[in-house]
Amino acid sequence: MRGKTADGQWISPLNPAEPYYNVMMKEASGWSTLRLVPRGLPLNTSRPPSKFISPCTSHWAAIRPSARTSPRCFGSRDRRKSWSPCTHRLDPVQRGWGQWSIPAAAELATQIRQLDPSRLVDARSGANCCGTKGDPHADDVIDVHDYQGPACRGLTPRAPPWMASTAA
Amino acid sequence: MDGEHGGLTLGIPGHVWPSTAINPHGAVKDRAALNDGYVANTAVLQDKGPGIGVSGSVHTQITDVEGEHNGLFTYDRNVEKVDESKVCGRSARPRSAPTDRPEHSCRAALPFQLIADRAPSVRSHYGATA
Repeated sequence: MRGKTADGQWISPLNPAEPYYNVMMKEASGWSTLRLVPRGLPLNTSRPPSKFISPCTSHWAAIRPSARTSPRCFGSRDRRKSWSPCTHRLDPVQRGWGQWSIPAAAELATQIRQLDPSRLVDARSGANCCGTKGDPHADDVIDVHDYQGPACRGLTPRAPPWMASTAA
Repeated sequence: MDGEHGGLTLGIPGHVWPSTAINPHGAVKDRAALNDGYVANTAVLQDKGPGIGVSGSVHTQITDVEGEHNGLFTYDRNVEKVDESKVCGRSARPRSAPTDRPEHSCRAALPFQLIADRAPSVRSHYGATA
């Protein structure tokens, strides 16, 4: 696929057989998402849903109520023969890279939640990290990045917005 | 949620993307150290996470990528770098998890490893009824 270099120019001329990985912008440009499909992750939808155990719906309690009613993500129970992906969460901005501002990330998350109420939304991952630090407070999760440990660093716990209507 | 958790780095020669600089989040010396590191880090998450409101983690990463070697599997998916019996067995699961569930395989369990069933306060907070 055609991508852009770090200075914003399209790869040119394009050779479809060349992955261009070493010259591409990578994580910060969303390249990881773009390459998921061509990198051999077959979405096995040919079998009836009853044969699947969803890693999302098996943890029903943690799913936003509107997402429980229309679970569109499901994966094979035995993934040894299938790299079936499960898109349980939409995360438009990885680590705040490319994020215009905190309010802009909040607005984007709000729009995405309206467009796809069946999935959780993470306005930006790693709110303690990297570009445009801070939690937009407009999504379903608090996302902190901490490789070694339980994400102790950073943010004050808060309830996701949908809890206002379901809390006892 | 800990959106990036793990990051234990071990490249397997012959199964890596060539000629690319590696970002070593947390280098380990061999596969035994990778197993031990995964189990220890998961235990920290399970023990400390629920008390501070952490209900899940995203493991970095399922497979190696071009410039990072933190996978449970290699870039070409041909080598499983961890020992499933150690990192995906009961030792790496929530200790209060029901015993009637099938054992998870690495590929099924690790991308989104919820630990909410070990934290009653988290379960009730999110509307669980049982």
